[in-house]
Amino acid sequence: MGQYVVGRLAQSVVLLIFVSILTFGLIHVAPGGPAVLLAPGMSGAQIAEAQQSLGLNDPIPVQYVRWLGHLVHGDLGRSYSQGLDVTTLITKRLSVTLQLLFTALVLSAIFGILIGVVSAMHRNSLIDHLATGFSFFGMSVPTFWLGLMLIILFSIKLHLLPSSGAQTLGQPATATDRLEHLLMPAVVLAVANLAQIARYTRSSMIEVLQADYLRTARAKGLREQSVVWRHALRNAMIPVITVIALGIPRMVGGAAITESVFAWPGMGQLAVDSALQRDYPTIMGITMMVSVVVILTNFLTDLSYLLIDPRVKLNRG
Amino acid sequence: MSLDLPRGWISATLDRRTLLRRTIVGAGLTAVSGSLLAACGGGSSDKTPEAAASSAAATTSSAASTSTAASTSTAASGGSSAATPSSSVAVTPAASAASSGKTPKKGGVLKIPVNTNVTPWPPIGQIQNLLVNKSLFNGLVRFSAEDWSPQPDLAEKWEISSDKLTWTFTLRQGVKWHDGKPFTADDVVWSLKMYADPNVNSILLGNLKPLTAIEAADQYTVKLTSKEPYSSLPELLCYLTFMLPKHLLENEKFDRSNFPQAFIQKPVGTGPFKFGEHQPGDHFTVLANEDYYEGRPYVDQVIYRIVKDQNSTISQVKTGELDVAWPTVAQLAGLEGSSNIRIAEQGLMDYRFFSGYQKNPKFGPWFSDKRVRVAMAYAIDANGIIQQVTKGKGKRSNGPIPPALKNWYFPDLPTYDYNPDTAQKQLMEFGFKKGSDGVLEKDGQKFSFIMYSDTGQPEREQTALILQQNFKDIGIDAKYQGIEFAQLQKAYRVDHDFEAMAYYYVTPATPDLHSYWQTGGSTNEWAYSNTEVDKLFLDGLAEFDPDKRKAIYKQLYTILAEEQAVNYIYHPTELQAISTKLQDWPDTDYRDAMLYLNKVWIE
Repeated sequence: MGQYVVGRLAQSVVLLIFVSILTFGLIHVAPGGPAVLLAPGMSGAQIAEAQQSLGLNDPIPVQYVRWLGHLVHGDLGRSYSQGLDVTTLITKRLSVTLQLLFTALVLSAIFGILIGVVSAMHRNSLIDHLATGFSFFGMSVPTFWLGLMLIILFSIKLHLLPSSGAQTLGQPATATDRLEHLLMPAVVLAVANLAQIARYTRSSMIEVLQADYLRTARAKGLREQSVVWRHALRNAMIPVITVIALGIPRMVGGAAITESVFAWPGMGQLAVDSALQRDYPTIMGITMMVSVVVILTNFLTDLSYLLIDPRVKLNRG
Repeated sequence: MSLDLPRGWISATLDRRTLLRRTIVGAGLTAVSGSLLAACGGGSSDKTPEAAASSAAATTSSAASTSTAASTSTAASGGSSAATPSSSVAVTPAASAASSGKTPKKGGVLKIPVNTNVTPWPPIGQIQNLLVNKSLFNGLVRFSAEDWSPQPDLAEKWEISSDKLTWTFTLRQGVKWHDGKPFTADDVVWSLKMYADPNVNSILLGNLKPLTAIEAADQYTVKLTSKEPYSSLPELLCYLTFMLPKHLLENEKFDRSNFPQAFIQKPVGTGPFKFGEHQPGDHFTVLANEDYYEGRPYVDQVIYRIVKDQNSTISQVKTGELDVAWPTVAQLAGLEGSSNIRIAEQGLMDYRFFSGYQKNPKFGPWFSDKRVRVAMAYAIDANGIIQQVTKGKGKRSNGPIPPALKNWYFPDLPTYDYNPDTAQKQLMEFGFKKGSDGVLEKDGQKFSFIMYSDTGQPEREQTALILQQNFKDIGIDAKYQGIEFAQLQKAYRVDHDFEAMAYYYVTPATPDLHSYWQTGGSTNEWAYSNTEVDKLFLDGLAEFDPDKRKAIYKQLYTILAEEQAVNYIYHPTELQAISTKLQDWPDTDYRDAMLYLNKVWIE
């Protein structure tokens, strides 16, 4: 087990290095250059000098090794476009993004499980078919489209919710205000995940509901409510928890889109801005952070199998 | 950096709506599939090459005529005989103290959109920063909202020495920094030296380069000396030359790629508003400065709200989430019937033009020949472009100076009216022949080139498409290619690798545009060269008498117009959607309106 963990961690480091090389190479292939260097009003000579001082004229492998050297010392560099340390920039945005991610995750888990259970209990009924339809819709619909539709409906037509941002400007920040701003982006981000959770819960529940021990539970006179929610659901949850965990990295990706649509001032938005402005240090910083999250989540999920399910054996040979 | 991608990668067709593009880029990034990055490109759509007249061209001069002291009023008193159409045609009368006639009220919040994150560090320029900088800082002088002539700001008056080499600026007394420390000549000297320091790489470097000495004569007097006469200095100092506090910055570390960390997180200026709060990705708030030298602003705070999608600014000004927005002509329809919004129109220091790269080895000799340029001017349906692209709101351009720069606009310069037959005839006379495919050719070389423009700006994209058709009509095979902003700037300014451009320029409000038109000038991207023009710019710099200056520049811009240094097409008109709650909104373009936010009040 210990050996397995060490092995997986080593693999993760190799994977991270690979990801960083790939990203570093690709951002330098993108045409143009850091937007800040091309500030209107700068002469060609000034731009050339600035490029030199940022080390952008060195061969890309040299630049990469320099970046990696700083990274080892915990230094992600300084943003070209905003002039602040990348670590500071990311920290400032992180909590805002976590609010969104956490809300979306909770929403998708609660409603996904609920819809899944109800569908399983009323298999092939109208409710089940509606839920299935909704799930396919949720998984297929593009996030940005759904976001725009919600904005048109709830902000522009009905004037119920704010269309963008994280707070009403010019007013003291309140919890209600924050929730109003959070609702639409969180729902949009939750939908795809929710649909998937609902599908998995449904099939898992159907399987469990046919199990012998539930017949026993019913036979001993337990109420159906208790049978479903306490006995069946608990056993059906194991695969669902995996799905929820694996959904986290995907939601991190989805957040970039959702945040851009709703002008939610989080990491995703920062990522998109940095890409557009060719802010190399910030792009690298965010990519590395997201990669760590994704790799770590997968790693922990694998580990949890090992702990939860005694049937999973490490196969070495 | 590998930039040798096939040009077709960044075709105009790839440029979908900004949002979609961002979305794809975002998804690509997080999925670590950066190939999309390369393909989709970026460059936010509303950056402008707002170039200072930085001068790489040496400004040598031998003039030594009689000395004329230029005082505060000289530039303004140059007099505008020009019959300029009113630069403001508002649907409702433009708000100004005179027209509103109401007693200003204190209080309220003013909400203004910016397109991306703000870094309040003046040397780096950029639109989102300079809008905020204008509320936090002051310059020695500033543009008048009326006609862009230099007006007193932190300097009360300025005059030129009898040898015409030293400008003396007398500072306003009793001005305080936001932290309470007094503003003195030391701050001015420190700031100007910093902007002129090559290690800082500021956008003002070119403007300040000719200065050989920057000194404080006493606590409230600054002397600026140059080797050659520099008559346009006050006009150029109006341009983003903000004064910064020496006492806070002299111990901070910064250079061209590192900004002062403490200062940009809590900037201190002398301006009407002081730093309030900065939430990156969301907003930047400034608060009324109780001790402002012109008195406390009426509003309590100004919030610069980051709104990336231009369409969103329009819907937000409708819902009241913003107080102003800058719609495009196409967006005007969506604002009709909004009773809470008025539309104002403002002239801009901006011209749209076509030019070939006159040093291009293949076509250069043609583009550098005025006969070809004039023939091409006949081929361009400028009025058609104004009608189609700007719905008639643009102004026909006769050179780089727009009607809005009242003191320096010359209305009777020559323009060439659309006449494809004349165009073709003149090209034939020049020696072109029609090839079998209908394309003109000379000495075995086809008149066929790639014309760049920047993507994401419908006005410029449409202009380029019409130009392409106009040229095709007379047998010139111009192929329009949309390129994103950052790549375009690099091709024009650093690599000098392009065939033709359908582009635009936002210029400083001065007739001294030598860096654009002098041989080898730093922003003379099309590589125009004419020794007579070179000399006239030097004459202009050495002349301090407003009337004589005017005569020199008239002669100069007549040459540029006559021989079509580039093909001037039109000056765009800026549209402003302003909440009717706002009173005394400055009657000028929105960038310069930021200089006067302290006058604005909310009903």
